[in-house]
Amino acid sequence: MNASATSVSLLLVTLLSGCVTVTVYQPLSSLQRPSIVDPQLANFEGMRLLVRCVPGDYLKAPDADLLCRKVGALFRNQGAKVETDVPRNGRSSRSLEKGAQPDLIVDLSSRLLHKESSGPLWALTALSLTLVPAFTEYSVAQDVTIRDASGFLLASDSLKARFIEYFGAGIWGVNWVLDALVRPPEEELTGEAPARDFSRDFYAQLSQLAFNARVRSDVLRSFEPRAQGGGEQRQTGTEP
Amino acid sequence: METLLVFFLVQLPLFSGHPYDPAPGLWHDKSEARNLDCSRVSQQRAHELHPGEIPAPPPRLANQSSEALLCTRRIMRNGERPERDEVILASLRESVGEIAEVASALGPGKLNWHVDAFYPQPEVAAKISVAARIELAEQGRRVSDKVPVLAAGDIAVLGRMAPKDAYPLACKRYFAQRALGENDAFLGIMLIDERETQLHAGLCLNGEWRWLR
Amino acid sequence: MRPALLALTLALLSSSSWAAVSPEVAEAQRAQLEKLRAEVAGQLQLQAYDLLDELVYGWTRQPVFELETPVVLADVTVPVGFGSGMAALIENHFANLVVKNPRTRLTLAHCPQCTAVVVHSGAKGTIVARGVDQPEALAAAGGLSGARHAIFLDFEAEGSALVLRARITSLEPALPIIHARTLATSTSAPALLRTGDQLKSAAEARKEYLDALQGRGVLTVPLRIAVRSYGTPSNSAAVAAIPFIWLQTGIEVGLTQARAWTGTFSAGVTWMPQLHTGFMAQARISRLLTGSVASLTRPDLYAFVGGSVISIHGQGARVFQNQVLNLADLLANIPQLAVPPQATFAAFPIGLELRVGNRIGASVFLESAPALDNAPSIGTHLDLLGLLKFHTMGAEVTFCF
Repeated sequence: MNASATSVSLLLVTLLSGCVTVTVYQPLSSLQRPSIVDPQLANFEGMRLLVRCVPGDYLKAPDADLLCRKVGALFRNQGAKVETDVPRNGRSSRSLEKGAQPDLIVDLSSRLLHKESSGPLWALTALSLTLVPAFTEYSVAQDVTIRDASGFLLASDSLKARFIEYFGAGIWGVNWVLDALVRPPEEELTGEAPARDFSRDFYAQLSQLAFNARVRSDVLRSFEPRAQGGGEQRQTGTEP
Repeated sequence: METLLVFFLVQLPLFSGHPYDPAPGLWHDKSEARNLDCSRVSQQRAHELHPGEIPAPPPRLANQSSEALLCTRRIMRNGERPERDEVILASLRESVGEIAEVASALGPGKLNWHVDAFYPQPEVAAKISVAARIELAEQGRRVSDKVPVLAAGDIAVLGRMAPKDAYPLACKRYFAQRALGENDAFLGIMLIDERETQLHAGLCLNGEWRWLR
Repeated sequence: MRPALLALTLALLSSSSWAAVSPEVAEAQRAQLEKLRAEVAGQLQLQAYDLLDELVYGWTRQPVFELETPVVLADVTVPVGFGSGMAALIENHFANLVVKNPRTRLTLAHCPQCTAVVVHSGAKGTIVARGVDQPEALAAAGGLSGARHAIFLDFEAEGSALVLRARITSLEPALPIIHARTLATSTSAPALLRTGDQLKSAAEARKEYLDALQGRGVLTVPLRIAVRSYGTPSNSAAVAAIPFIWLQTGIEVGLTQARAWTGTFSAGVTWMPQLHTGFMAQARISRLLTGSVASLTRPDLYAFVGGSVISIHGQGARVFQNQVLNLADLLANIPQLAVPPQATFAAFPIGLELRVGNRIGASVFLESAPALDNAPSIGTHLDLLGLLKFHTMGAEVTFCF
């Protein structure tokens, strides 16, 4: 095999492996708001939380299940007893048991707000062996509502983010070099940076919202102690 | 060298060819992008809001939904103020508006309203109470700038109590000491837990305390 | 697109995500924040002035008092995090507005005791407070200076908006608020500074702004002085071309109302005594890079591409011909030198132009002239993989009329 064939093969392998994608994450609203609660502390010790991830056009049931598992783990790490629920066909997968009412019900649903991509640009990218980069941009909203067991709304927010996926060996190379030589670690764009940044913002806001809901619930009950639901931790969703 | 130059030139039009795109990249870093609040609106609406920045949609594309990403820079950048103060102040209009609305509904008639805020930082507390007074006044309520005060001994005792007991007791003491009369309403706005980023409120009427939020 | 990126990008966080910032980084951030704060304070001051203008304009239309009334400016508070210097500026601007707008029916009274901390001992005990917070003490001391009302102005930065909360309180024991108004603006709205005695409503100010935007004419006449420098020939024996100085003028058309795209048609001339005379016709199209509309206040950066036809007459045209031009040839063909040569060729420029206020501009460009590929006296400044050669590098200064 000659050198040029090897180069082309390497290029194709690189392209197919997805290594040439740079995803830029931009918080649009609420996600970049400062948060006080440290999600690594026991902020919900002894509380029962039901995390319900509602599938929709954008978030299909398996992805909602994955989201629920991760959010469940977030609250579990903060001392809560968490149940997860992914309603399918409008029906909850959770069987209500008397005396096991959750203290807080966290509903999560996702919406695709905007998507943009250029067909001709993708063709140009293919023709130039990704020297000319292509991109797909989309904005998503993660709606969060938190209620108490009676259904009273305690907190709600819509966390909006924008993602731009650049595709091209060139664009990836430029950013890889900048990340390696110029950008400080917190400003890096390649690798796990977008997932890390989005996760940090999303988890922080979710924890803060839930904590605010918890205090509001206490205030609206005039600080009366919560009814003890009893029962052990129970998982009706998929175990992470 | 020239090949390398070509390589960079090809990247520029797409990756950095939109210097007005607020997403992190060559022109903006992440911390700068985090100081923006952005929303998607129709181009027509965006043009109405910012005629000097966003052109009107072409008439032939009027029927097509063209969107603009509208970003406004927050006045105070991240880290300029303590995080909790920033969140509380950034949403002051909304939170105080909600509190005043609920309080107005529960305290009808010709009441004289007094407002005070209980927040760890005095300058933020002053902002909260001023905002609430003005909100009530704009709703047509009779609002006083005077804040009822308790005796030093009462304050010392109340300061050692938990919020759930302190505020109802303070309300009783206001009434007992005639700092508040039958025609007076006292709206207290406070922070209950230092880890939260929301304001709570309670209403003191005739010596009875009621949590509103 | 992955249909559920939202879920897939979520990852459990390591404790490092919430790790404390290192002291060096924190120090650098603090220094940067101080710099930003100074910059923000300047912008904020203009916004605050706008809000004050709107407040006082409202009072001229709907005065709070039926008769002229003395009032005390009791307090001006600035956003949390800003110093008292800004309060002093706001106080001065407010006083200026009230003095220049008698229709507000307000007269500012001097009352140093109102803002000072006073101590009052009475039957209920001793109270230490500002004068305006205990008017009975002020009245007893005769410190009200005839004023029975106090104005409080409170500014706060709430997200991207600056909010002004103004209230007028009657200086009687109950301290009732007799007038309250909240005004908010967005930081992205351009500040419209007006003279204090010619206040306008927000609607009128917007119309003024729109008129200014629309006043940016569609047609302009650019006058350009350009220098074109040709690449050094690879053959060292060949005579290199000297830089050509061009004077161009024509017409520039804003293709969109916002001048995001512009087109220019121009004609140019170059002349060097005893060497050459040249003419050029050029068309170019420019795209704004710094924003979607040309700015009224900031420089604009445009990228442009175009096409030109250049015709050079005289001895200077020999460098564009397809024969090696060296001193030996020149000396051997002296009779031919008597016949002035000419060269006509097409050129395609690409470049960047910085425009200030659509009045003056500076640009740099590269120009490709495929017909000169075989001219031995013309080298290339940039050769893109052998596919595209730029023979000319140039710079221009543009004045628009």
